Amino acid sequence: MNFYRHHKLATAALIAAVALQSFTTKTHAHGLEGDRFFPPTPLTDDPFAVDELSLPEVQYNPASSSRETDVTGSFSKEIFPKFALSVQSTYINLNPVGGPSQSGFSPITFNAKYQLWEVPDHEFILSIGCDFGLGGTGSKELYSYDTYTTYTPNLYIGKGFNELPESLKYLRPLAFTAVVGYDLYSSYSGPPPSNAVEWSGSLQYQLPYLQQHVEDIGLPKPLSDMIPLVEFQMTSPVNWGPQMTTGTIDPGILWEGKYCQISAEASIPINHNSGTAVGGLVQVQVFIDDLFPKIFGHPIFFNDENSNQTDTESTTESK
Amino acid sequence: MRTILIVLFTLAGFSVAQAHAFLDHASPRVGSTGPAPGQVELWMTEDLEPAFTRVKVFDAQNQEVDNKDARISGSTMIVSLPKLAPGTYLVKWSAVATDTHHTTGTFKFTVQ
Repeated sequence: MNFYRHHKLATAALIAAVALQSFTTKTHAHGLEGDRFFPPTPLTDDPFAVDELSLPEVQYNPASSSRETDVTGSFSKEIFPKFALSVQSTYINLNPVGGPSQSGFSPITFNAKYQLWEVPDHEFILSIGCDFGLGGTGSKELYSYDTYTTYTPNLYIGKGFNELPESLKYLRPLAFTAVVGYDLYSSYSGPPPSNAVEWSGSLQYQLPYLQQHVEDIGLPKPLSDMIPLVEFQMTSPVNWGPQMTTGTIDPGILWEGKYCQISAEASIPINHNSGTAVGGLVQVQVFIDDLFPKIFGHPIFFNDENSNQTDTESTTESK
Repeated sequence: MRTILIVLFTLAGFSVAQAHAFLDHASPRVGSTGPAPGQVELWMTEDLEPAFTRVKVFDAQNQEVDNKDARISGSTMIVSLPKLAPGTYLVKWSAVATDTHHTTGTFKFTVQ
């Protein structure tokens, strides 16, 4: 099956999902656990199985010899309550020093995610999921073209710091998210790829949380909508002997708007194998459940119209 | 991708763009210390659905102390209070915006 046929199938699946969507009137909140809003961040997939549209994420990495620029788009749709499917593809442009440039699409990646355990009072969520990087769906022009499929079972965690004592109340806006996954591969020809642990995370200081739930210190907009954060994204091969962990540490800022958010981060390689200079990335995340509330923001199947209000009462009363 | 966007924006004609209702500001202010207020007023970022929106005030013993007369109008919610004794109080709100997005939140204020 070629790359373009995969894209057509993915597009058809998305259209079918939208067409199946009933125009009901109850809508789930996106990325909320108790008082905490966990925004999607560029490098750490958030633990929520909700409707999300990332369009685009642009990442520039001048550090590697290939001087790589990536443009990524992804779309996630809640199918059943707390269960979502997503599709992602990346357009890659490589300008290697002293060599011809290459460009094309990475393999299409599908993801299935389920919110397994939530404790709103403790601003905690644990989710499980799996990425499926479909072999043979990327552009053959890229040197990284793979014929094998990658399976990555993932564990997702989100936690807010709301339980800190009064003496540390100015640290309550802190929150972290993390993802740990393990790369597995289908049958392949040629040198075997290394299985690897993929681990990423974000530590955020949420100024909106400070203003709304801890203390209104009078921050003006747009400062009150900002979230300074540090992310990291690492890959640790497990069966290639001397291979070391590679990755980046990515400090940046996130602006949370009404219908979208914009993130900008620097990418600092952690060692020489990860790169030799600082890169950067910019991501625009569209809140499609806010833009199109009658279409998005609720599952396609088993959408319990009364669940929101029940949740409202129980959540409020249990605090 | 172009096909997806065409579908999205075509269907967008059936809906009205709104957003989640978050707290914009409150009186008394979030985390403030001051004299006993006669009411708690919350200004939210979106218009609210009165039938599904709540605001309550609790004391340190988790007893509700407001007069249970919450009024919801537009994007504001108000609940009146009796004369409060010095102490720290917890405001709990639960909001459903007019597009049915649901949010909850809490904050404290202290009466001197």
